[in-house]
Amino acid sequence: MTGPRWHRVEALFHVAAPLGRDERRALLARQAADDPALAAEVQRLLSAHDRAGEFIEMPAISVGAVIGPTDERMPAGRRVGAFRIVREIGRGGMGTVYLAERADEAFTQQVAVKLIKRGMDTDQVLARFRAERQILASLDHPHIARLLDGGTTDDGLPYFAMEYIEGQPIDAYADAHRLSIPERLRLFLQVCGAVSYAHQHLIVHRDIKPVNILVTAEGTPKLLDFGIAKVLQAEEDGTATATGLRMLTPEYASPEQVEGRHATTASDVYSLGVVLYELLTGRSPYRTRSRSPAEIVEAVCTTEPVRPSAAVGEGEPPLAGRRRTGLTDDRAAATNLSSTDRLRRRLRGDLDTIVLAALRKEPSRRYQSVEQFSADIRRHLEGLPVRARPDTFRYRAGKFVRRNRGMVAAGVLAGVTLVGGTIATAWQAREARAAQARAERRFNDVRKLANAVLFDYHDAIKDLPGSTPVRERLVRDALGYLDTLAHEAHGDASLQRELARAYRRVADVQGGSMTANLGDTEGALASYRKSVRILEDLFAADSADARTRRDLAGVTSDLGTLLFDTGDVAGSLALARRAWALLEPLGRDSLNAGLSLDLRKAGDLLGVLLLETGDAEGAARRHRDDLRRLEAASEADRRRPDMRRSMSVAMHHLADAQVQLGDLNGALENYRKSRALRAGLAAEFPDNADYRGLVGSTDFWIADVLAQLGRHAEALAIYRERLAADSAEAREDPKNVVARSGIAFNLVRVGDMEFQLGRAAQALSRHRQALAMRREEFRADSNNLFKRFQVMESESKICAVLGALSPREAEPACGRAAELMNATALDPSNAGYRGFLAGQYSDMGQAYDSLAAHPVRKADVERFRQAALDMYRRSSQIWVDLRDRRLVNPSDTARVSAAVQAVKRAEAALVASGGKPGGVGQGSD
Amino acid sequence: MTDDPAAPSGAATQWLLDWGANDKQALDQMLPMVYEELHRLAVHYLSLENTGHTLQPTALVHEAYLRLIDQRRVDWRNRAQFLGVAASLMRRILVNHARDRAAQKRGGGRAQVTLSLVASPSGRPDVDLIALEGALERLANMDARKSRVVELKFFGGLTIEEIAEVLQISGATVEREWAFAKAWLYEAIEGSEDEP
Repeated sequence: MTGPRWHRVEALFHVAAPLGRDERRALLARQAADDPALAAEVQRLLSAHDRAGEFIEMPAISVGAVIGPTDERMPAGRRVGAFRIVREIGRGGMGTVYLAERADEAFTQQVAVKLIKRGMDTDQVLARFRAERQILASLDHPHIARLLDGGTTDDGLPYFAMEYIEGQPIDAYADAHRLSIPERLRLFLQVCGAVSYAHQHLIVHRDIKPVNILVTAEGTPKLLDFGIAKVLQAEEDGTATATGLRMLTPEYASPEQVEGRHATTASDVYSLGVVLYELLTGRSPYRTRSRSPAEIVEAVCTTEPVRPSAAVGEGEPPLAGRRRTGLTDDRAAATNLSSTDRLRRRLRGDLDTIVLAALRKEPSRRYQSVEQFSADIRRHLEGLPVRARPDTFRYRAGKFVRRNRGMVAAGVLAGVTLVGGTIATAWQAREARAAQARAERRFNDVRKLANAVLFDYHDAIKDLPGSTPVRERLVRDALGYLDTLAHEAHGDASLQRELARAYRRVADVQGGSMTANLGDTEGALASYRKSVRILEDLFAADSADARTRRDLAGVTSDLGTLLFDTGDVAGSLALARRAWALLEPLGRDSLNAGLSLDLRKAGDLLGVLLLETGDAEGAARRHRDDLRRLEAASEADRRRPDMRRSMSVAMHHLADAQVQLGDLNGALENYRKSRALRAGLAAEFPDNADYRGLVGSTDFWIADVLAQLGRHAEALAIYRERLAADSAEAREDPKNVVARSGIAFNLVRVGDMEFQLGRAAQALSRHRQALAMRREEFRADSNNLFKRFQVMESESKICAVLGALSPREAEPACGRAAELMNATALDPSNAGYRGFLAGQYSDMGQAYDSLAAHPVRKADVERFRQAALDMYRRSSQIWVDLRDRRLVNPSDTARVSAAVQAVKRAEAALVASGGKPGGVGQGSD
Repeated sequence: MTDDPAAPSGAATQWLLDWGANDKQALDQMLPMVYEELHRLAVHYLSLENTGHTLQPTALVHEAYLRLIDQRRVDWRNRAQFLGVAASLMRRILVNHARDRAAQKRGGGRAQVTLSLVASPSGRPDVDLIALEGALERLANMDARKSRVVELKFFGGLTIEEIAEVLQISGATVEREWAFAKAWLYEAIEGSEDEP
């Protein structure tokens, strides 16, 4: 069965399923007239639907508080310490509870023996028990069940023996006895008295919940298991482990416990608050949809509880607002009131305030002691004003305003007026809460959308040819969302982190150096800077957070890389050093391949910048070090594509340094190794434009070294191949700037080789084609130094080729090139670009020399000699300055003296043509 | 504090976060660890036959999530992603387990291997896992999403809301997909009773 038919079966199935037998039959009969096979198919499915029952409804495998295997159950009569087991009376996450009797006494003492299940760390439990035993045994309070003994069974299982209490959990007791609200409160106050007493003895219960508060037939509440939670849980255990959570009973645990922080007396205040909430409303304060611990944890930590008065009688689906069995559904009847409405009014106001004050997420904002909590309940019972701050609304409203400043301004919440400093009416509070819920929903929507746009949609299409226009649109939209979010992110670290990442992603897409991008350098710099700013703030607030450190280093590194493309070498080097310094301490003991990649990326940038600022030795060392690290990685890591990419980059950059050091053959070998890695990746991931681009860039350098070694024909073959590949790619996606600049690049190289091999006319047409493309690129992004140099290079090539081919046309072309060069301002420390510029000046000098040697008119000779001298002087000035700054590579020292010599030769030539070199002033800048 | 290493792993959490930030390799890193943990848990619980008692049944994938992932560092999105892959892994583990058992028991004819691991209060009927797997693969050929819903619900033990989160569809759609898939699978495995 295929598409449309399948959908018809499905549609008919859904229409028919809820219908009664006769209606179904009629429906299917009508259908059978048209398509009997379809009707029969649906009939079979409906029959299966009716019979399937519990089929696959329960998860294939589920676990829970699985009590140990059968053999760990204690049969009646079995001895545990001084006690003899009578029968099992309960089971819980920690183990099983038995009724037992003291065996060796004349009189019979009934005790409850709690047998801890296998798997708990027996030795440590016992050690902690011994440490606590004195204190626990000293707790002597009428509402606390006494701890009598503890030890291990013959099988080595820990157990505790406690005073045996026959009773019902407090909530079930209250319902069964239809206790009124004041009666419930008075019962609860007795419990508070017991907890308060324990707190005075420096014992925190940690696991207060209704089943641990039993009420005897006489109406006396007794707290069980005081201090047991502490004994069972390692004190230093700082994480919310699965086991910890199961022991904790997440529904009653405070946010700090759930988050794995220390339980304090404030945690008991919180748990008491939950118990009181349930005692008053019959419901849990949180509306979790499932019982999955993770969801409860999330609710406990993030959701504001519904006010008790609002929780009563709420019409709810059966899953929500879960209640324990044994409680009465009709809350009014359970609390002996005539209607739910009465109950709601009884709770509204003081009791809402008191309960919610105990349930605040932040321990410091709760009642500071159980004593204060119970004092407020007592005041309420006596009709006195309660002490719990009536400013719950103001607190919320304040939070609300902070959160929503942006939204309010945007008019999203127009019509909601907040009156600060006055006590709001219930109506206002309700409205504000609704508005807050709306705003938070919208806020989360925007957050979700921004993430989806950046991470899902963009990534889904980024490697597809032809995707550029859509990507531009996505970036624009994403930036809009992000800027809106950024307004509201203050104080929300996780959102800030998310934002920083998102800005970084946008920057990558706009114009990051490492990936195929949209060529918007300015936009990318701005987005990277936003990301850096956010992360620097986070880092300043918490420099111990490794994630912040890593994120900050990563984006700093990216910004540095891009800054380098704009020619700010000093700025770039500073950022590279910062990134390296941030990551270095983390990378030392890294078990994470992603981190080691980040570290290598930072190290690589540093190496590249060292080379660019003239320290080829340092750069080679840096890259060799990286290669060693990468090669030391595990087999599995070395197979990872990103690791392989990284390795190829390190080899490539090492080769770059080798070229500078004059080791051309060594460089050729490393370039070829790098290419082999990249070609492997490109073959494995044929849709990945990045890998293809990398192969191309290595090819270029291989050809470059070949050309330097005088192997022009071999180099030409490579350039031609690259040209064809880039042209094909650009045809598929005309806006792909990497492919487009690749075309121009290769055109220039092909032209160079052709010129070297004596094919000047072909060379000229290649250079002209490249120039047209590069001018267009540069116009669109005129701050990009690299693009500027590309135009310059093409102009100067044309000047040189024309000098040999057609002197008449050469002069204007050479003039344009010289003008562009003279107007280029460079940071003095930017050795790479300055060296390149010097080389261009020298080439231009040669071009003018060549014009002077083959003059169209005799009168032009002196002018050309003059221009040549000017070019050589500029070239030599740059070289001398770089040498003085110690920024000249060893391989380039010869070029310094060559440039000085060229100036002398040009002066002599000028004199020979009748000119006066001393009078040339335009040579100085 | 217990005999198993239940502390959330920094590495797994980091991988989950990286994967959430679209680092595809992070998933490759994380999967073996999740697989191993699920497998370990499954083997553990599969060995406890006739235990017969559960309070608050929790899906194994949730258990693995709590064990492996540091809750304080992740959000709902990471969680959904985790549960989504864990359910697939769980399916593979349980089906492999069933096949191994079938292979062990094979004498004449194919032994039917059922799951009767942890009895549910409602008394879950046994399911022939190998037959279910075959039917599920056929279903996937026609309607991959329905098969995925079954995978998430039955093998992963995810709630309707969680499935909706993982698949980015509404809860109502999940319910409809489930109802149809369940009927289809039942029919495929048990056949029709009212064939003429």
